[in-house]
Amino acid sequence: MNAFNRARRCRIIPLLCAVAPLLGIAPLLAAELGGRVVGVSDGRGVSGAAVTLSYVAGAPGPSAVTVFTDEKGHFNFPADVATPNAGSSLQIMKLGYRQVSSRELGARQSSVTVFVEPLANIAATVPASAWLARLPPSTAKHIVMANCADCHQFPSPRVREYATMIEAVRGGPDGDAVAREAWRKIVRHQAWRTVMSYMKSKHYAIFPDESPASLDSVDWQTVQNDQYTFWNDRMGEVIANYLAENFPHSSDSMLPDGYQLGASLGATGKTVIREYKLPDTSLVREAIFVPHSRYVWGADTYKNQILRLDPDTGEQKWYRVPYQGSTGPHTIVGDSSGLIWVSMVDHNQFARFDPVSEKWALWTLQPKTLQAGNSMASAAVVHDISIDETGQLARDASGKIWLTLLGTNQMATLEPASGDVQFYPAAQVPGLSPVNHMLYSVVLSSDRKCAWFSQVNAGIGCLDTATKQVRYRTMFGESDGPRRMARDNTGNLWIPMFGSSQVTRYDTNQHKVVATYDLPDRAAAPYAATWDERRKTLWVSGANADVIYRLDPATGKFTVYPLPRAMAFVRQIGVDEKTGRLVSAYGNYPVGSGPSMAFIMDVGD
Amino acid sequence: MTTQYALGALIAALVWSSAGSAAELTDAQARHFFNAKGCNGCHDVEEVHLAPSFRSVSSRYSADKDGRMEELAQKIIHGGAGNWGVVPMISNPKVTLEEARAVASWILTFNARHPSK
Repeated sequence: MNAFNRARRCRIIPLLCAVAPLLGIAPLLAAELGGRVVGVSDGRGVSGAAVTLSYVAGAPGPSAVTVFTDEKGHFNFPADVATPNAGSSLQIMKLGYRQVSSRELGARQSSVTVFVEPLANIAATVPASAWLARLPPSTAKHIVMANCADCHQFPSPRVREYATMIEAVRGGPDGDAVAREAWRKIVRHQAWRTVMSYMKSKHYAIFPDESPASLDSVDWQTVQNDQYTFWNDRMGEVIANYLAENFPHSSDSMLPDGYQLGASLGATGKTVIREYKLPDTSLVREAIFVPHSRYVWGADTYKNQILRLDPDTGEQKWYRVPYQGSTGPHTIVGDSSGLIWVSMVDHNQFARFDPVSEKWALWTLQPKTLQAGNSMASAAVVHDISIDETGQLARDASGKIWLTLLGTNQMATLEPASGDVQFYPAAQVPGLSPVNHMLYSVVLSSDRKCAWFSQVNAGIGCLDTATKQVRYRTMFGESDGPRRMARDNTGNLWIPMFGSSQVTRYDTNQHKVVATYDLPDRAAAPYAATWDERRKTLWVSGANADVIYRLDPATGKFTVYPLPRAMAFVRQIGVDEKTGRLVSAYGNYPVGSGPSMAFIMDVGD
Repeated sequence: MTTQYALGALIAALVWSSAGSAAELTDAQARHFFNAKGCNGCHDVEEVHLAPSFRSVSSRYSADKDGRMEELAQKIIHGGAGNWGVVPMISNPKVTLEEARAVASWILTFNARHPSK
């Protein structure tokens, strides 16, 4: 164990480290855990399996650490991982396999052999995307992906349960099989239509705890008005029809060849994923590294606060946004000086937090077009923050920060020193209300002349930071879903296409799309792309597939990094500019519908 | 204390004090529950939205409220279809049996407490 790792451990259990030398023993933590994953029937090592060591609640450090087996099935946890404590468990995850030996782990156990066996039915081991990947490709499918997997994985277990309930409905004409099937089609259509209306109601789940915006305070007509929802009624009907006609009637079984990761495994025996359990009442959807800080920082959308997480000890410190009311911190980015910037979905707030002084500054971004009240019609939904090639905050030539307002389809500028705020329209598509566009991310060009924006239900464009006019508008197929973009240093804009599960490379010098890459899983729903300048590579979150993808721009090939958690709705991925580690969190809406965790990944390359 | 914790604690206290029978929710507490759990995404007290109003449910079943309470509580948790048309109600696995019984009791006694005008 090197001095750095020993120091990290001793921060975790200082008393132990202090007394161990006096007793003439090596620290208990020095016992390193390793072993092998073996097929129970053939005795052969199983490669590429995720091995997750989970600690009991309250233990210092990560809640769980995952490594991967090498080509012979061997695995080793790194030296700085704490020895298993009483109640620790070891879980194997590999698509198509089931663990057959005990998950219990003895205290101070250092070597273990774990047996697995292949499954004849892999339904319980596949991600949400596996069910959609089998459905026929079409524009309608892209609309489903862009709008149903928007806030949570789709189809989640509850959605699949609902599909089964639809098939369990009794009644209809007796005897005549044709008439009975016609009746059942009507039932399916009507049920999915009702779900789409219900999902209009569920829009209010984006608002945080303590928010006055709730179904209890809004009249039903406004709730159901498609001018104030992410999709309009026409798109809702397309979704209902597609699901009624194509959604599997049962999701109890899937043959072993029914789903594959679709790309070579990027994870190696050196890859390590450390997960940190967060409160179930929190919804930390984004986590980042910030320059000059050893902590992970996260935005808790539900509890109106931001998180400071110590990756060594697991200690969590929370800072409530000092606003008289709910705020809903959503997007969080750092800047080169170490300050943290946070956009918020409620009460039109935007903030800066100084991690050293622990002081906040707040600004209100409230367009005049907003209606009074507590409905979606009264929410600007301050969404994304202008970033540079490192994913850090970027300002235009006049020092202004650019922000997207999802609720009003506007771009805003903020000059923090003066507090001056201005609003500019983004591109409009006929037939879409402002919020229907789903104006999303903003990336500032290297010359700071273009604030590149994406609209999930439309396309991309440049808002000229000097003239404030939209230029270089590029439309994609309906609901192909350009979402949270990134740029590199050579003029490429990398666009994750959430609906079509592709990545598009747009050349900002030629002003045209120059390449499109199909994701290995065409229902993976890439929420965000992150440029990794250190590795000259692109990271892509497979929000619907429990994976992270790595795209090599030189070859156009993807590799895949499976995540050790079901419902791992990964959105933004951060890269530590010093160590190259990745950081993110699991972020299903609404609160409580998925695992509440942040994680750090040592890529192992 | 958060909204959901406050509601849970309240219902737990009521269930405890009533020694096994369903807790009696006030109208305000019921409304709070409907909002916290998203019931009002489909149901309204008086109007038909995506699902029957609570008054309609009360009207149909209140004559046999003791016999129907457990059935209704199970429906709240597990969902299902058949009594109000062909569109299934979603399940609500995070609603506890105690909460479901308290809400079922509130619904079944609604008409008696608030007769139609």
